[in-house]
Amino acid sequence: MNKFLMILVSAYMQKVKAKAYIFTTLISVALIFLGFNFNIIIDMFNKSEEINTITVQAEPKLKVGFETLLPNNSETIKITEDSSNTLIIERDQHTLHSEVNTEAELSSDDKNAIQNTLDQLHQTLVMQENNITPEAIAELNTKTDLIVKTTSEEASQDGLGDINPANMVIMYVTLMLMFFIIIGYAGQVANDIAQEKSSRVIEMIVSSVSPTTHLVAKVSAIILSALTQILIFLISGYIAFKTSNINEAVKAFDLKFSSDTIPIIIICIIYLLLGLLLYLSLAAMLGSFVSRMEDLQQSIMPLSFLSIGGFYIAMFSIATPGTLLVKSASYFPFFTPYVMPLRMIDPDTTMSEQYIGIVIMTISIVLIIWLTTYIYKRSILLTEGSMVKSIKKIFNK
Amino acid sequence: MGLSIKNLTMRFNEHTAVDDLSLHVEQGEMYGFLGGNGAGKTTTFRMILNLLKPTSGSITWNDKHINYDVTDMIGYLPEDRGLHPKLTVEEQVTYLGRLKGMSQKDSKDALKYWLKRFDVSENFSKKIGSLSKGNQQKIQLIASIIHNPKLIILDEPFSGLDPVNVELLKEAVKELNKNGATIIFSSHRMEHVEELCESICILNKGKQVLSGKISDIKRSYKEKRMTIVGNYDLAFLENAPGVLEYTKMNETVILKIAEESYAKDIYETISSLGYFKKISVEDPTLNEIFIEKVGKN
Repeated sequence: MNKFLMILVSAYMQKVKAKAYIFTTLISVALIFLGFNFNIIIDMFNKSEEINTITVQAEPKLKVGFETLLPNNSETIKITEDSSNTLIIERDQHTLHSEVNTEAELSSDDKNAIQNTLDQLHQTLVMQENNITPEAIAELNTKTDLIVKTTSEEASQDGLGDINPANMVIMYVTLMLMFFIIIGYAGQVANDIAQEKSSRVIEMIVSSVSPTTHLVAKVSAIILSALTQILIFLISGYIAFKTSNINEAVKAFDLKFSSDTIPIIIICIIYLLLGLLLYLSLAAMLGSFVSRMEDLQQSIMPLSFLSIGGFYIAMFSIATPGTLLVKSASYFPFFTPYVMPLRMIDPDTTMSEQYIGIVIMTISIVLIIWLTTYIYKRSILLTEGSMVKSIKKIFNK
Repeated sequence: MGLSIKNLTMRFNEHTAVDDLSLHVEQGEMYGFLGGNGAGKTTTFRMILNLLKPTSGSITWNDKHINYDVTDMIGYLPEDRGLHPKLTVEEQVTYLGRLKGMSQKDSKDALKYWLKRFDVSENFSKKIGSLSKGNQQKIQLIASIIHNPKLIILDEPFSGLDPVNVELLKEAVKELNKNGATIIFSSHRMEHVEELCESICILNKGKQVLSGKISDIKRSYKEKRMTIVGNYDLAFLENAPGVLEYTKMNETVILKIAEESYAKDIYETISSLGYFKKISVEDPTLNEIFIEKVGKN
């Protein structure tokens, strides 16, 4: 077997067989299933039961009023004379005072129903006493119309108007997935590289295989293990979606896929892969600066900042994908994987801009991989001194 | 055939780590690199392995430049010891064996053989981090020779080992050499080099101060060491002709003489005094040659 494949396969197997990998995957899958069944779980814990009967204690006028108005607000509560739940209503000059005593905890639905009925009762009483007609009340409640018209074309594009909510959901999921996968796996790449270097085993490895082959095989193995995990998440997400009754709930939100949903998903997948490649190569470079494990966290800080930056710009612009910030950030290589797919949901973005983004990413990835292997080759045998010293030595030669 | 190094120079910025080094190691030979700290031994090894690119000069193995096409034939034990602490001995060594082009099974079998040979068979499936430093070093040596290389480079193989393990290791190195491997190693311990190697090279601050067969070097060295053991006052020898150095320890007097011929005069002078337990003339030890050469420069 060729050495590249050998390193790739054994590094991949080592990753996916690791306890941490198996546990995080299982926990995430469990969370996905829990998430899709949250309505069932909420019901399980929601102990407050709805009351069926109630006895009203009040002067006859109030009692009759309450009895007539209650069916408008609740279909379940019936008024009886001997219920264990009681409602006491009293009236002074201007206000109604009431008190409910129930056996079980009062559910929020029932509480709202009683509250609304009392409000209506109060309104009716006030109307009767002041001779106000229901028409007059309706007139009072009419809202004024305000129509906004803008002549500038730019302004109307910033709004949410044309954005399909289903595509926005896809964006949210992609951004979250990308951010956590990049941060998580970048840490692993840097950790692996730094560990090999700090344990000095690297000198034996590079006496057998070229540092470039070793590095590329190692990073590819980690990317493959990340993709395996993403695939597992997607499959379990799909199964959970199909088996749970949440699709009823989703239908209620009126999420419908538009004609550009498929291109958006494809672009999201492309940028997810490109983003992983870019950030994991960068992580390998940062990891190779480290000669002691204690310095690792510090060394991957720049990566975290870049990743958080891109993620936040995209997250906060999800409703306004046409702004100048989004446009300019989408061409900055480290933000591109987060921000460029977001521009897909803006109908004014042309496909050529997406292709430019892909080209920028590809060039950056090639440059970063080149720079990483250049630095890696020179830094693996530098094992003493601080990071800054190593960096100086690498570029001085 | 063998390993040829010609006019090898390595500069790091202003610092010259290796300065115009030329030597030849015959195939099947055991070759010793001697030198103090910072003499350029490790840098030379790294250049031989193509881990560092020399500033100038050439290195060939059997008339071919060394690159990753031939590294499967080379075994290397770096001076900076270290293996992945979280892997088991089996995982780490078979991985490194496979990197040298071995199959999983062959590297496992070879590992078992060598573990038995070094008397540490029980460590086969232990985590490397849980082993003692000496045992880790044995594992690392196994990892560097497991693929039966034709050229073996050992950087300070004996440092940090107890005398029993040094003997075990020496026997293994001798056996590898007997089976045809060319072995190059560096050491601070002259007696190991003297015992194992036919040829040596002494480096000092990157410069080659001496190289060749140990026997030739010693023979060409005119200064000899004369040891006299007897209960007489021999202080007058300090000023005798040809005596360069005079050291007295109890009954023993050690003289450093400029040439063997002076020994005869001294012998004749002192033999009239009476009985001596021992009078001998020896070639200087490698230790003395090293100290003199490196000290002078």
